[in-house]
Amino acid sequence: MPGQSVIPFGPQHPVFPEPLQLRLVMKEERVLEAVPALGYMHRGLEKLAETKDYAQNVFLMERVCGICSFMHSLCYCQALEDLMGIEVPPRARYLRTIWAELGRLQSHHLWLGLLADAFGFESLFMECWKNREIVMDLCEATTGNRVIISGNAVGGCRRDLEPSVLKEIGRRMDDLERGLDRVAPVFQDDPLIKQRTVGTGIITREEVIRLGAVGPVLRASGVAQDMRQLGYAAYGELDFRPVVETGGDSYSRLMARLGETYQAIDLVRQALRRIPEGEVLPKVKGRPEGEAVSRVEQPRGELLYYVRATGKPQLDRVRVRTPTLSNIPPLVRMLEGCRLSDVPVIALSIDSCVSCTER
Amino acid sequence: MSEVFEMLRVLSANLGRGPATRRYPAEKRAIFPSSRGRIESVIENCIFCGVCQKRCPADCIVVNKAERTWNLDPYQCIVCGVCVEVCPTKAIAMRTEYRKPRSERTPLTHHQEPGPREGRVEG
Amino acid sequence: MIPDVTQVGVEQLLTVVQGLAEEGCRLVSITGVDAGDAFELLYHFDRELRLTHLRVRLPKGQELPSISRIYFCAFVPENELQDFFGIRVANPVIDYGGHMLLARESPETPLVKRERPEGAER
Repeated sequence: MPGQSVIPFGPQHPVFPEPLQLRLVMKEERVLEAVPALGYMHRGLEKLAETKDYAQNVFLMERVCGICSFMHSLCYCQALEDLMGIEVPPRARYLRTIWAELGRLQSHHLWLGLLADAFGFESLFMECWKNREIVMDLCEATTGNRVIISGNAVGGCRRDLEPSVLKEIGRRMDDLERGLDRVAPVFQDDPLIKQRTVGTGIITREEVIRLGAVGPVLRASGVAQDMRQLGYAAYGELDFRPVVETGGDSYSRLMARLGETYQAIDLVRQALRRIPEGEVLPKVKGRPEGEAVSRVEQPRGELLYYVRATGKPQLDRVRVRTPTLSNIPPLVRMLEGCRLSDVPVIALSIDSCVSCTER
Repeated sequence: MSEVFEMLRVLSANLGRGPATRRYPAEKRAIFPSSRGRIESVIENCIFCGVCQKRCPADCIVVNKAERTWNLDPYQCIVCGVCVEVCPTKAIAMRTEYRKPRSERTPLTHHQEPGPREGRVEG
Repeated sequence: MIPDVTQVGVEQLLTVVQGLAEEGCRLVSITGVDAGDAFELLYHFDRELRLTHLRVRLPKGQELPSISRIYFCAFVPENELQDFFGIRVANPVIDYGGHMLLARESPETPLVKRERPEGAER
């Protein structure tokens, strides 16, 4: 077509921590169409999962993603527990909630920092990542690792936490909230950030459901849907209401994540107050048979695991559907008609996580 | 005007506080007691049952009962700690410090001498 | 163990999916499983936090109608089916031709179960 040009955006681009390519069909400064090109990070983990036994797979599934690793093992364990009819002890359910929210805190802090970096706002980026370090230290102190924390096993948790450690988590949450209070007003009110985010990448409530968006992308367009409402782990016993924004633009997605960061601190505190005593890992007997579906809310949205077993220690099929895979079609729609200069921030606003998308 | 006061406040606070970072090689953070640093064999206790080899998710342990050896590929090990949990005789231990970098990728072989229970490390 | 599964024939698939779209369901994903002589496809839909499923049995070699004209987002899982199982999907909105996630030199159709000698290690 005359007057059209194609710009390859990525796979290596400063706003993408991982390789993802968007082929932008441009007419002057406007994007007419964006075609995603995936496949730079495919590792064949679903195939590998068929060769290991179901207990070993917990560690494999943790490695699907480097940021939301705990949620992957949680979702996988829940599917297996459903298959094998295992009742998870209440203390383990609360520990899972605490670790899951710590994971969300570090993931959202990471994203807030990356967003600030995309604007070239270096000091804000460093401030966010400095706060994130509080959470990373907590993860290491409670489980022994910063990211791949290996807290889960089929049936419960692999570690129990001492009361003194639980108290320390609560104390550090206060530090984290103070740190967040320093950066939150900047994200909310800074005129430069508003210029780059308000009114860009708009996606409406109707489109967002039809396009299958999940997580903060869905909730920033006014849909109050969060998998934590299903009440898995201990969420059913905590006071939880999804954070909803109505603008549908990049700014709303930013506000939804900022709100969720505060909410995660609150959920950790609630869980710390109510955590019951008891065992954390019951003995698991038998072999899985049948099929099960499990969903959890990852920092980036709904994560779905489908597991099928035939009574052997190895599983017949493990299917991982990560949130970014569902958020790519909405991204394609958001980019249509935007200016080239807005593409980086819009692309970042879905918080893509490519390594887990391609597994 | 209020922005100027805010700037001055932040500036003076930062001057008094010093850097937020650590001067790394000179100043190190204390290791957490629960850190998963590396797997080590306590070969004297090993009975060569092979449970660790069977349960290891990364397939990095090879136990040879006939030769009385216990092999670990530290570059394949994910330090999950499953072998430590399942070992019936506490012959595998978790240490908090990371393994030192090495220039060659060779597995660690631990050999148990028959008779007097004395272990030695090769490789 | 999976609640709310409806068995659907390949030829009725588009009509049923159209109905779900009009009800405002969200397409969560499509899962493929190799069930020997056929592929079993499970379409996961979400209706106000409740999952509802369609199960389609697709004989090997038969073409799968694409639902990506109804649900644009279906092009992602449909291309995954092309990649991992070698299922031919009839004209999805974006067709990567079996190379969305897999590279040209990757093993082909990795999730199709292959004959293994008895007692061999998996």
